Amino acid sequence: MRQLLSGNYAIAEAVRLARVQFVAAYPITPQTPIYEKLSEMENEGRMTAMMMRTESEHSAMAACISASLTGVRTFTATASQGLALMHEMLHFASGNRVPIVMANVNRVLAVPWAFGSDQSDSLSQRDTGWMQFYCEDGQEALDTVIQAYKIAEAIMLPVMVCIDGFFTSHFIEPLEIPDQEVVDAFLPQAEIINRFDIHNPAYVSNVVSPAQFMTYRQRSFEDMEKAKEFIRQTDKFYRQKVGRGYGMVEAVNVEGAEIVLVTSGAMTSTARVAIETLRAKGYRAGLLKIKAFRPFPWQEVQDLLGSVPKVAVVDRNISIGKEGIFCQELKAALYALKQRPMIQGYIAGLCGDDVSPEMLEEIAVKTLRMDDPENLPVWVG
Amino acid sequence: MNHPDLERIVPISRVSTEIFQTGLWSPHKPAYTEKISPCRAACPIGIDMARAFVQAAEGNLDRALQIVRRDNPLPGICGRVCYHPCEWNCNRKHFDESVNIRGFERFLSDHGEVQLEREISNQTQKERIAVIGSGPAGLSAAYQLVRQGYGVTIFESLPEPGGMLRYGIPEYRLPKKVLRKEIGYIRQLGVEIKTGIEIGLEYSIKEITKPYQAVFIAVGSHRGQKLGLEGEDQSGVMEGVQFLRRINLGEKIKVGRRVAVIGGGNTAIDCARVARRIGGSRVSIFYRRSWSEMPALPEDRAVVQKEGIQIEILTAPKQLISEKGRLVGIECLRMELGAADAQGRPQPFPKNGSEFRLPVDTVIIAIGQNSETGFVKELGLEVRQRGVVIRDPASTATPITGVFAGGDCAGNRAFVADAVASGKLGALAISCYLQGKDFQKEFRARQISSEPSFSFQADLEPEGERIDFKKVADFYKMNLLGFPFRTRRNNPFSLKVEEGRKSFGESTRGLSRSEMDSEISRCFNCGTCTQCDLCFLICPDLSISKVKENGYRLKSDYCKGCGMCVSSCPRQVIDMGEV
Repeated sequence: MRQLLSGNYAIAEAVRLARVQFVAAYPITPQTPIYEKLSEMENEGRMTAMMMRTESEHSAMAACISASLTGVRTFTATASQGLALMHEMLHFASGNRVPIVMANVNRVLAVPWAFGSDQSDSLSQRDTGWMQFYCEDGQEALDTVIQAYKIAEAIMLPVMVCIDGFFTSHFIEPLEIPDQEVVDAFLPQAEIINRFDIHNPAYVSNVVSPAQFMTYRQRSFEDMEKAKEFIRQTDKFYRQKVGRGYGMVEAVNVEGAEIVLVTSGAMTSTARVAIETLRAKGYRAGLLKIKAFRPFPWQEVQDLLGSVPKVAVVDRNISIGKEGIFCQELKAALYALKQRPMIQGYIAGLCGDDVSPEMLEEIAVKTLRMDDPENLPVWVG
Repeated sequence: MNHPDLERIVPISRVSTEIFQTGLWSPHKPAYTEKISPCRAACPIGIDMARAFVQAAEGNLDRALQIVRRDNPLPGICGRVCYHPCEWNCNRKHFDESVNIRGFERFLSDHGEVQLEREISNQTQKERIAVIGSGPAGLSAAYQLVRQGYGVTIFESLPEPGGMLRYGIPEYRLPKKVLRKEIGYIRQLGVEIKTGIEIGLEYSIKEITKPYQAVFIAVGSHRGQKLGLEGEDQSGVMEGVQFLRRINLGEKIKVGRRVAVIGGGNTAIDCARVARRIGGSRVSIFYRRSWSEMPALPEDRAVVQKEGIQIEILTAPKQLISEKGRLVGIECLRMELGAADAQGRPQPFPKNGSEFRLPVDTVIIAIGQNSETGFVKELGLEVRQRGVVIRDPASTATPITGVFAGGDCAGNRAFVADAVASGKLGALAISCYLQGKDFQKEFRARQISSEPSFSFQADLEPEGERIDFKKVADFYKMNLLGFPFRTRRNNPFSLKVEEGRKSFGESTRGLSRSEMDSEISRCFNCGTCTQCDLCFLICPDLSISKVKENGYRLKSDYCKGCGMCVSSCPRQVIDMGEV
């Protein structure tokens, strides 16, 4: 069914279609419409999930962890400060291996207080042991949330699905909503283990020895690494059932390109336009969209960019003291190659600042003209 | 991918958490410690009003009254005429306005049921005590002694018991039926009251007290002081206490149209209001110091003025003017205040040439009273100026073994509450004397904070609540977030002013149930646990458990000593300590 929907509402529809059983959240801009829509669906009886009102995101995540431990499919959504407040519980979720799916609507972190799109909130949670997927638009967000449940429940690790605040969360586009039967066929009823048995009492989050700790962490690491193959297969399976797929990364005109722009999230749509223009002007320009950030698709990145001469990474985030985070990750992923592209990082569009096609064209041309990369990123805008 | 063996990837424990008692890491632990409320600390009688409010809030008016009566057998009286230092110290006054605590005490006495069977002592002492005087001090001493199992006889010279409560305070402030009811309870508890026994005249103190092992002298001060002016004995000049006594005996007294009352205390106020009710249309009070030194309460001054009575401050009489043997006027002087006297009150002195004359028909002198204590000399006791019996103010003991003295005649502050407190102190001193106990030690064990007051509550209810008597709840340590602002309910006037100033009916009425409920909800119950569950709900480590009927228990095994319970408690019942 085709429908005009905002990215937030698209996520709410995906939660309904995934037959989620438990939702705990707390309102925060620009995520609130997800929460409101779910509440509306609950009220109208369109969604059977139990919704728990909490007093903070920290409690929302704690509630989701507890619910998930009892074997139910669980969802929450947040943004920015709310995600920051959850931080402690994010570790509890991944450490307890609970398959929670969370939507994070990227919004800048205070201070100064602001509301625009910026990936600093979710990238600050890079090392919490969650999978992270960055979506380009509402359609991708809808499809990714449904896929995320399949992935999370198989790998037993939580998944964060990110969209850009306002650009994706509030822009209304015509979206394709799959039928419930199609989704049910793709994503059957949850079979999550109920870890609480009153006849055999136990408790989680218990204390372990350093050696045990190492083992558990290593298992999580290995499972996340192995998850990549499952993610690829899941996307393929979804494409078969639903007709759409996205991959861990998406490459556009990368083969034979002299310059490749690397983007993530909503900015990718603009970059698609920019490379068209550049190609029309005679530049051999390509685009690499990174969707999966954790686990990081280093094989794809190596295969696709290994023979490209120059790469410009545009980050809507900044790690103060170094550079854009996607740029760091990309450099690290390519380090093992003997022959590596020249990589230049750019910081653009922080806090939802406009990133126009012209700006991206200029970034590509500027990178092409560089002989050597700079150690630090170039600020654009 | 699939994880059949979840426990290999997620730690899970099936042993008890008791192996990992994180609470052992911190020496800081909260402890439940109920404290004295500031109203109780301020009350000379030491009434546990905060707890009475808790019980009243739960609808247990009888229990609330029982709590009040542990310390005060006269709640209906104090609930009407007390100068309520409790309200001046009420923590609520830092928030909006103090709670109408006096009105609450009156309400309890009017609506609660006295359960005498719970007050009757289950022990019987062989000693008997004679109490001389049935005013608030004598009644209070007798009540506390009979509750400890002693035999008590009160000797009263006037026809009815009550002392100043019966013969000093007019009906419109304290109805006789309230007094009779509360004295009735004291009698029912076993106190014998013999009236019409005037010791010193018909009876010898020595002889009458022979069968008793201890004597408590509390005869009050009923003889009005004189101005020392010429013509004080002529008709038209009356003495205040005598005037009030005759009114309270039901005599028909006439005053002129223009009445001058001399004095600034409660007696002066009562004389003026009575004079207004029996025909004085132009009644004035003359007081030689200023408003701030006036012993009468500000609200009583306001009532007086409402009833059309003038108060002239910094004014003293110089001479009484007579014509043809009849009082026709008064010459007054304007006064100025000088250096403070030994009691800290500034001394008034006349302004030169400030004399002025006023025509008056009646002068009532209410400038203080002396005690009629000549009879004590027979026991070998001495009296000071104004008839004050010499005694140790800390213990009420006189130099004569077994003889104690309290109330106004022992030089205490001349308020009802102070008299009741003095009687209670006498009861403790007498029981210590009879049981050979060290009074100082026994007093300190029961003392409220560092105040002169104490409570018998632990003696009366040994299984009762545990309070740290030495700690007073501090407004700034209470969490008042849950309390809304709410207007104080005062006891309203019963009649319109025009009618009230003619009537001897009680001038204020008690609060209704719903009005009182509002006041009850305003009380913070400082220092007293109401089992509000906030500590239980807020503890992040689930270390507080509810104990049926008896509040909460701390499980220190997991308490990290964060102090959330301490800082969230609305009533400062929890303290942080070290183990």
